[in-house]
Amino acid sequence: MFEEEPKENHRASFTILGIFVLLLTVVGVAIAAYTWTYTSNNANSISTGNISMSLLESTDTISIENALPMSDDKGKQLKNNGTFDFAVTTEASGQPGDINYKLSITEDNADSDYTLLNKEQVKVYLTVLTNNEDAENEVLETQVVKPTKVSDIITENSDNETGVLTFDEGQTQHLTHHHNKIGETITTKYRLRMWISDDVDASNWNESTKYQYKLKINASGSIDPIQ
Amino acid sequence: MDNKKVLAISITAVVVLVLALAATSYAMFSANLTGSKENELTTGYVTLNCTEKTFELENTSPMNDTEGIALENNAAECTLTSEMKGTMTIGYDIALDGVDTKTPEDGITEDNVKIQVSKTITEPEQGQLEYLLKTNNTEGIYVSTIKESKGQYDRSIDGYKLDSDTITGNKKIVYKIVAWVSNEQAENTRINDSNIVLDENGKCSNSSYTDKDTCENASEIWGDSKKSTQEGGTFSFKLKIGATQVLENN
Amino acid sequence: MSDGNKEKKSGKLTFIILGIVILILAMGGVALATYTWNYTSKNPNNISTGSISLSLLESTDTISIENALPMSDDKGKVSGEKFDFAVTTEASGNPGDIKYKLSITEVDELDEGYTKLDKSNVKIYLTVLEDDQENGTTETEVVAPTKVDSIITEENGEGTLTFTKEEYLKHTHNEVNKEITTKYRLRMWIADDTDASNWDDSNQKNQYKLKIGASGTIAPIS
Repeated sequence: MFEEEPKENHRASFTILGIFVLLLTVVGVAIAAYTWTYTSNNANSISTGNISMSLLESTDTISIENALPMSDDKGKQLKNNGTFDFAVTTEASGQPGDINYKLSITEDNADSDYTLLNKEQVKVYLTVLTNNEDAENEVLETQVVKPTKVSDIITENSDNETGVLTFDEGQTQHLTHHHNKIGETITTKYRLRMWISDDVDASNWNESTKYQYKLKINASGSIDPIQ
Repeated sequence: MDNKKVLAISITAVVVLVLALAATSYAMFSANLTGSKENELTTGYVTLNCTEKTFELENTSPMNDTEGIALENNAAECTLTSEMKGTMTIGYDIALDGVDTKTPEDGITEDNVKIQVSKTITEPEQGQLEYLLKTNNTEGIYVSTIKESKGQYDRSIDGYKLDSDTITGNKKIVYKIVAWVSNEQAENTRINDSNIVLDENGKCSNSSYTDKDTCENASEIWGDSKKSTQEGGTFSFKLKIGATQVLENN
Repeated sequence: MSDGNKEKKSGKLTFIILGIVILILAMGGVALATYTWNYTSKNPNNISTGSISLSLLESTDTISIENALPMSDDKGKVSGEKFDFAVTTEASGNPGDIKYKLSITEVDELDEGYTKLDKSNVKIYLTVLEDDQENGTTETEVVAPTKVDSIITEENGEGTLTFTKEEYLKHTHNEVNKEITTKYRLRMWIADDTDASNWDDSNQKNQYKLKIGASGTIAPIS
């Protein structure tokens, strides 16, 4: 079969070339996987050749001044500068199946003349926004993370003051985007609220005690191979 | 043999790489998107204060409600001020505290001291004076009648509650408690009632005479005396306020 | 003590400790801290009085007339049945004016064998007795001759005397530990418009009895 040397050499070099090409492809994909692309001013995204995920953050962030302890019922009704909307979008040119992602929050440092509130003093609450099919311009909100103390999200074991939001039972489906059609774009819109827990003793707060809490939202996704 | 080896290695390598690539194209999709928007809240505060005026009325006498209300130097005042940065609903109870604790056994007790209680909101807008409990501009109530009224927001207040209310925002409320010794008890006590003790059998209307003859010779009256006494004494009270956040659930 | 017992004991101890820990946890969970504020006056408000007393000194407990015949006011004012009493007020402080009222009460219990006269047949008259250096005791009219039925109008058989000179119903105490006494004389007789024609001295014995009452009200210095 392998009688002719040159032929054999040729075959061997072809094989080697094939391996090299394959290697390059792998590396290429790997590089692509760590490339940030921005889909809008307020979004950052990451994509492979055919899969991308982006986090679009509203410019209307939560900016609450003079916050005082509040009941969950009141906190859930916060409006305007008490809410922060963001969207997670996944796009795939192929049909990679399920893209799973997680949402997490990261505590930020307080401004220089403020003292950071304790994590157990702040509660967050997350809803999914959907368009009401019956009424135009009306947005429906569905609770996906019940009012939860930040200390239950960013725990002592968390790295970099970041903790993953645990979705309520029965609401985890929002964390999976099913890409079963070619070239599909799937977006889930969220609304975050935060307030000071009603079990906080504010008796000693006064003009000179300045407390603050800051957090950011993150999204991280990965793909589940088609099964 | 060598060729076969090379081929085998090559095929293996290709297979491994293909597998690796196939795995990579899925597993390598792993995105970590860190948000750039800062969500923040900063705290406000709530301060409450009571600026008090107390009184010291000595050597007064039992009187009726109209006279008691018109009397001077017998009003205690507490100007309750709330300053709020942020929104909070505070529920509070205002009550009398330490009622007659120093001299509970003397003649002046919660059973013969009357009070008239009013409150006036002065800020943010001047409001109308409102009489509390069952008092009005001409009538007071005995302190003993509110003995059992307990605090609504402060459970440590277990009696003598004057008012319970809620407060939001910046406000100034003046509480005024006018107190006097009522003469109604004395008036209702009649000298010839059976509960009045016989003061003295055989007494002269002029106490310098001690026997009937000298008494009557001096045109005085000799007989039996009955006496009703309103014992004197001191009544004191303080004011107490207990406030707590009211969490509204709706 | 056996080992078995020891084991049991240590088991109990563990259980107790566990119980305490759970209790502490539960308590920590229950004690909900919220905004609270408490205020109590530093200084008390004080109101004080001295003692005040009102006494009634009577020569007899009740005043009665028996088998009397009707007489004119002029005669009654001099020779009606006489009853003296005194009202004394005492104050340890100086509370100002102590006001009092005088009342009469009909007595229903008569002596045996007597029939009660109707109060419309009985008149009373009240004077204040004052010592005068020159004239001895003087009498000043304070309640003019009045039929008892116009004084006792209430069912309870009691009526307040209406004075023509009200200043006597006020004792002004402007000194500490002062005692003030007013002496009174009450007279009672059968009104002269009473028809006594059928009064038979052997068959019917008439009687009317009264009691005096005093009650004080104390007014402040105005």
